[in-house]
Amino acid sequence: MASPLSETMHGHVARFALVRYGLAVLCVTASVAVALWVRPFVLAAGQLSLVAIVIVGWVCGLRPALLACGLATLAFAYFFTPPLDSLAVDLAEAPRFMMFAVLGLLMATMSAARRSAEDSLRRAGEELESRVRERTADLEQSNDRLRDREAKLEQAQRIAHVGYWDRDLETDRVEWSSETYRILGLAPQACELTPATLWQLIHPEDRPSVAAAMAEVRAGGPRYEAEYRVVRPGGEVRTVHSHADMVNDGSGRRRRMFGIVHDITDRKRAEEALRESDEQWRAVFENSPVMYFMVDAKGTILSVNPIGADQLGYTIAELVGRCVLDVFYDADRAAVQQHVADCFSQLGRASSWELRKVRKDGTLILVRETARVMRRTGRDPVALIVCEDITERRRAEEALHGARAELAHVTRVTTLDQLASSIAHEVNQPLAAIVADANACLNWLAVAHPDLDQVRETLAAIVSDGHRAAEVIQRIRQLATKTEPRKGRLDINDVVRDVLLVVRSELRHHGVSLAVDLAPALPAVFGDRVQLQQVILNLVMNGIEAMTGVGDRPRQLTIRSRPAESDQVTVAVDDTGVGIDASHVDRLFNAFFTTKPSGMGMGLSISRSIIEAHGGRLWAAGNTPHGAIFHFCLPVADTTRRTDHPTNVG
Amino acid sequence: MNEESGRVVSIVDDDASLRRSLRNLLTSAGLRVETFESAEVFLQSGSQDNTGCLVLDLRMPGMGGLALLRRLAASGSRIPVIIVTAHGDDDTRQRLLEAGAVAFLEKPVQGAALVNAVRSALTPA
Repeated sequence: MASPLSETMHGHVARFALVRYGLAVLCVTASVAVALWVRPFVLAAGQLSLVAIVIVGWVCGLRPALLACGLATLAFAYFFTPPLDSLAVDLAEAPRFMMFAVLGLLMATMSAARRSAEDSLRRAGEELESRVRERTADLEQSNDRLRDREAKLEQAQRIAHVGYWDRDLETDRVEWSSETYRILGLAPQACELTPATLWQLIHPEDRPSVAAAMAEVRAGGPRYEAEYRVVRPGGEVRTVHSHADMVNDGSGRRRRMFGIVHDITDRKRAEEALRESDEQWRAVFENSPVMYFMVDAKGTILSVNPIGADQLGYTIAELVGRCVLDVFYDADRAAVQQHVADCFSQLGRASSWELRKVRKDGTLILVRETARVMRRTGRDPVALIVCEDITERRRAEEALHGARAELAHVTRVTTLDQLASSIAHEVNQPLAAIVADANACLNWLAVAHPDLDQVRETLAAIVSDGHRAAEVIQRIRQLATKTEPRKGRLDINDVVRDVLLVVRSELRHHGVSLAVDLAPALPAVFGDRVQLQQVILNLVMNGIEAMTGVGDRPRQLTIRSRPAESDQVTVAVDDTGVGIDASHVDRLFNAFFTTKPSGMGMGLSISRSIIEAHGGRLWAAGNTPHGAIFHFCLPVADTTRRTDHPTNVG
Repeated sequence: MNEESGRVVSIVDDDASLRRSLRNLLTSAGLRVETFESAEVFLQSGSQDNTGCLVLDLRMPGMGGLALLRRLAASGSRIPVIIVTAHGDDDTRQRLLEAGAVAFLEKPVQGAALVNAVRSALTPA
C-alpha cells in the first residue's frame, strides 16, 4: 500500500497538471545537470536520468514520465552518447542508446503503472471507506429504529402485562422478555430463567394442568394454552394466561415455540367481583320472601322468581310466557289491566293495588302489588311488579275487627243490662199513659152524650204514646244488636236524641237533670249509627255515675253539639260530678282502667277506638266548678264515599 | 158525676204524657185537676191551699217525691198524698206510708184504682 507520505504528496501533485509536467522537466533537467557534472569522470552517469524518469513516473504519472523519458532520451543522445554534445548517435553506441531508451520507457511505464496501481488502490480504498461509512450510517439509522421499536414493544408489554417467551425445543433453552420476568416477580434479565425455575414458580395445584397442556402440544396439538397461578418470590399470587404457537423450520419439523404470558390477575378479580355481585342479586331475586314479576306492555310474564311461582302453585316454566291476567280472579281482571296500562303510561311512577289472584288449585289469595315501569336502552320498557300475599293479614285484620265488634257489642249489652230497670221504666211511662188515657176514654164514652172530640184527641195521644214506646224498644234493639257496622250520613243530633230516649229514665232515677243544647243546622257526619250511639251512651252513663253521691249541689248533665273549625262537628257531655283525678288523667282511656267497683273498664277505651276509627278525637277535661267534660269531634262527611276493599276472601 | 167541686187534685209528674193522661183519667171521672211538672213548681204555685189531694210521682229530677212528702209533713200540711210510681219495692212502700202517704200505686195505674184512691182521699176522714 502507498505510504502516508506519498498519499499527501499525491494529493497535492495530482491537482495541477502543469505542475506535473513542469516537475517532469525539472527532474530530467536536474538529473542531466548532475550527470553532466559527473560526465568527465563517469560517462555512464547519463543513466542517472533513468532515476529521474522513475521519480517522475512515480510522482507525476504516466504522461509526464513519458515526457521525461523523451527528454531524457534526447539528453542522453545529446550529452551522453558519442558523439557527445550532438544529437547524432554512433552506430556502435546505438545498442546502448536503444537500451537506454527502452529502459527509460520501461521505467516510465512501470513506475507510472505502479503509481496508477497505487492510485487505483487508493481510490478503491476511498470508495470502500465511503461505502462503509454509508453502510454504517444506514446501519445506525436502522439500529435506532430497531431500538425505538424494541423500546415500544417493551412498553407495550409492560402496559398490557404481556411478556413473550421463545423456547427452542431441541435445546430446551428459553428466552424471556423483560416483562415476563416482571410478571413472574423477578428483576428483568437478572438471572438465568430456565423451564425448571419457572416450574418452581408455578402454583403446585396448577402444575398438573400446565404439564398436561405442554404434553398435548408436544404430541401434536395445534396450540399451547394454559391458565395457571404463579407464586412470586415475594409470596404474591398472580394468575397468568400462557399462549404459544409452534414454529416449524424449513423441513416442517417443530423446532420452536413462541408464546406470550399474560398477567390476568386484575381481570380475574374483576370477573370474580362481578360474579359475586351477580350471585348476590340473583340470590335476592330467587330467595326474597316476596314475589317478583316482570311483565311487558302486553301483559306477558317475562320472568318470575321461585317464590312468585310457588305462591301461585305453578312452576316458573308454567308462568313465563303466559298473560299475567290469567292468574287473576275473573272479577279483578279488568282492574289489573287498567292498573298495568296506567303504569306503562306513567313511566317511572310506582303505583299499588290490592286484588285477588287464583292459584293453580283454584284457591283465592289476596295480594298487594306495587309496580313500576322501567325503561331499558334499546329494548321495550318492562313493568317490575312486587307482589305480597296479604290473605292471612287481611284475615287477621278481619278477625281483629270481628273481635273488636264483639267486644263493643258485649259492652253495649252490658250497658243495656245496667240500664235494664230504667229501660223498663222508659217503656212503662208511655204504657201507663196509654192505660190512663184509655180508661179516661171509656169513662167519657160511658155518659149519655159523650164529648167525642175529647175522646178523639185522647185516642190520638194514645197512638202517639204507643209509637213512643215502640221507638224506645227499637233503640234498645239497635244497641243490643250485633250487625256489621254500616256507615252512612248521619245528623249527630239525631243520634243524641236516640240515646236520650233510652237513657232518660236512668237520668231521672238518679235525680239528674238534663240540659240539651244541640246546634240547629249541624253538617252531616259519616259514620255508623249504633257505634256512635254507644259512645254517647257511654259518656252519659259515666256522667251519671260520676254524680251519684253528690248531694250538695244539683246533679246536672249537659249535652251540647256544635260545628267546629272548618269541617268538624263536636259534641260535649259534661257533668257536675266528682271530676277527673289528676293521677288518672293519662290512663282514663286505657283498656281495663276503671274507678267503678264493678266496671270492666272498657267503655272509654272502646269509645275512643270508635271515634278514632271515624276519623275523630275523644278527650276529657275538668269542668268548672265541679265535674268533667268529655268532648269528641268528628269530621264532616264529604260528598265522595271511600271505596271498600274486597272482603270476601277465603 | 160531679163531686166536691172546689177541691182540686194536683198531679205532680215530670213526664208530660203521664200528666196529660192522668188529667184525662181523673177529669173523665168528674174531678178537677191541675198539673205541675215538678215539686218545686207545685210549691211555688201556692196551690197547696186549694189542693184536696196530691198525686205524686216518686222519681223526679230535682226534688223527688219523697223529699216533697217530707217537706209537706214538716210544714204541717195535711194534704193526702197518693204516690204513683214504676218503682215499687216493699221497702219504699213502707217508708212512704210512714212518711204520710195515703196510697201507693204502681204504674201503669189501673184507672179505677186511681180514681177510687183519689175519691177516698178527697172524702174528709
